[in-house]
Amino acid sequence: MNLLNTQRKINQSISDFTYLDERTIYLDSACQTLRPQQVIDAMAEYYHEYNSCGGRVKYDWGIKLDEKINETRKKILSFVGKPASEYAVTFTLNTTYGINLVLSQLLPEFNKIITSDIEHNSVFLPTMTAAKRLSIPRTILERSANGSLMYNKDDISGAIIVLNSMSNIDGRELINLKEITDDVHKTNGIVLIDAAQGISHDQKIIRESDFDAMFFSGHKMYGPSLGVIIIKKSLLAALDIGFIGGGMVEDVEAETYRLISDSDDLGSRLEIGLQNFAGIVGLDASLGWLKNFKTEGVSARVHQEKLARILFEELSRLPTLKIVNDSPSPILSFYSEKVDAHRLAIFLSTQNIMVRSGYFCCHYYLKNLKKYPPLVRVSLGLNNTQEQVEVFIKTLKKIITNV
Amino acid sequence: MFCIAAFIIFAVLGIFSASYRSLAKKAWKCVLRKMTFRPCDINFQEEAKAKLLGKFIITKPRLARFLDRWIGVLASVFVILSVWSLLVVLNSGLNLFVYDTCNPNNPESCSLGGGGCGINSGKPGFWVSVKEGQVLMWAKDGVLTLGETITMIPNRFKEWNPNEFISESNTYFKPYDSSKSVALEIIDPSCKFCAKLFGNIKETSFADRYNLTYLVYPIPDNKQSNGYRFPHSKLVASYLEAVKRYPLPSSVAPADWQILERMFSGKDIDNVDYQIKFNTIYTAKEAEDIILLWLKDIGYLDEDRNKIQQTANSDEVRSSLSLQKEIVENRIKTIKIPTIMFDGRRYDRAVGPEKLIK
Repeated sequence: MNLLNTQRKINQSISDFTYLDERTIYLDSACQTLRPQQVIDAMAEYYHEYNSCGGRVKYDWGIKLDEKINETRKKILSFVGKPASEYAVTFTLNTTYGINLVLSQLLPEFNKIITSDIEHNSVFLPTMTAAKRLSIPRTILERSANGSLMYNKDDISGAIIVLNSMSNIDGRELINLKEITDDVHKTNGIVLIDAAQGISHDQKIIRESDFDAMFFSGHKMYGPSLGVIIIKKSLLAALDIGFIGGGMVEDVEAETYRLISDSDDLGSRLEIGLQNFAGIVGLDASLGWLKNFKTEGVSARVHQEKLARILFEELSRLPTLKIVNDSPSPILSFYSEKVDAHRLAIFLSTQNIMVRSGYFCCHYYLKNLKKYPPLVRVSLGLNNTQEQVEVFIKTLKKIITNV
Repeated sequence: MFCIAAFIIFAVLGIFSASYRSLAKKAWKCVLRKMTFRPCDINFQEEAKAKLLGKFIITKPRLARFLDRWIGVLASVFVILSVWSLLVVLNSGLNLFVYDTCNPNNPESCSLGGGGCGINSGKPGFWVSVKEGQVLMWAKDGVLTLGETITMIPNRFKEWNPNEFISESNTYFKPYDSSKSVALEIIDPSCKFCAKLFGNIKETSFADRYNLTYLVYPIPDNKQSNGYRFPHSKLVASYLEAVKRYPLPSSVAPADWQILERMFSGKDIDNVDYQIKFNTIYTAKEAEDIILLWLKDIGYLDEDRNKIQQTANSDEVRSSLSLQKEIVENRIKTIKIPTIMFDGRRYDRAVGPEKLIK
């Protein structure tokens, strides 16, 4: 039974998502964004028209694919405003895999590892194992309400710093990222950025910072399930490559091998075995789609800020709702004093509204540090319209009143 | 309790659809408290409850609130009823196997068993017990009855030898032939199913292949004024026993069998079955007059009929009936008649022609 939605079919005005059921309201883009039709078409085109192996064949399909992959790498660097001369782009399974891949192959040249209290388990846990492997101390620094890392220069001297650029709890941005990278580089430290949430929100802080490596997932930026690492070539060349296989070497002897050394192809050092080529092609399409996105004459950022503001203001008016966010954000978490978050999520689900409930893999911060009960998270995507947000708010109010 | 209720529901639905089997598995883990949670996850009980309440939370909030509050109690009631139903089914199945009826206290109420006249145990049913405030007694009787039924299971596999149960005064439908084995039936002359069996026996010429004899057993019933379920079955039984003492010097069937034949298949001048008339219309005097009339037809003279009449009321007949009653109740322990034994098997029902032909 979906009373509020069936009374009035929602206009899915974002035309690239017309395949969606008219009653569906998807509000879990922080976990995985929906795919615009263009992305789906691009992947289908690869499978239909040039399904082949990249980087190793001479026939037309493979050549076309190689061109597409190179084009995607360029687009990714362009998207974050980084030069190909300094950074390599490499494809992996997902963000978590990429972070583990780099951390597990770093040389023991650092004196500590630093992360923050609001990190996702994909950062929080690998920093634990990396500290153990490198036999260095691990420090958890606090992030302020505005998202900046609270530190002094001694804290981060010679450190490996792993932080998210945008929280998956409340959308807080790491606004002092540039300052952090500048400071840590003076003491030969490095900054690794988890941009899983930030990448689709056109973060200026990423473009302005001199990060050493950045990780994100295609599935959080309207693309296929695919991981991407943007890494400084100097850092990449210094990794102690331990995960190795096809597509990564120039030559192999009986007991030795020589890794690819061509600066333009250095990214291959982290691309173990055959890659998700359809995913790369789809990611290329999603980058193009995201760059050109406009709805009702406004950009993606403006559109999302508008919806986030409506959401924040309306939910702030509900007295029994406790919002974790300090300010509007496309990612907003809350809990109700009247109804458990999981139950609330299920109630919303019965009304065709999809939200996330729980601790969003941030157990340390939410459960153990802040002692929050399980939360409900609403994360907006570019598929969402103002009408959808209004239906969500209306339904939520009705449920809160009725329980 | 909620998990148990969910398991029962999903297990039953799972028989028909695979999609419910995983839910049944989840519910079972919940029952065993072995559900492993991912840290971000919700437990099965809460999830299932929320899914149910979610259907009503917008449109019927009062119902949702009611369910939220009482669902645990409702689940408990459901589980108790389900377990009770299961036990009843198992008990009924066991009774069906052992006694050929799912309800030994009221055999005719069970449509799954073969046709037969129940020998009512006199034990009150559940609702009567509730009305009389004797629920505990009812439960105790239930347990005792179950125990008794279990002890009777070996009988189901026993080799039944009719010769062990024949009464001293027995007669055979056809002249005894030592080359044939004996078949024994237990009958009440007023029981319609005994009449049906008699018809099947005749239809299949069963008595030509076996030495067919019987025990007569007027079904007792304490609730009736005469102490028997049917008004004149004791009277007919007494005459059956009495005529055995005055055999006719002819080669036709013994007189008691001829009386039975009239009882089971005879019709009066109005073309109504005698058995029906005995059971529903005749007074004791009319019933006895009919029997005496039959005796005349069979060939007894007035003098013999007077003797038979006196013998029917004698201690000798009463003793013989009592002995047969003892055999039926304490040795054969049937709870439904007709019972028939032949070829080592025992059937507590009006056996169909297909069984009698074999």
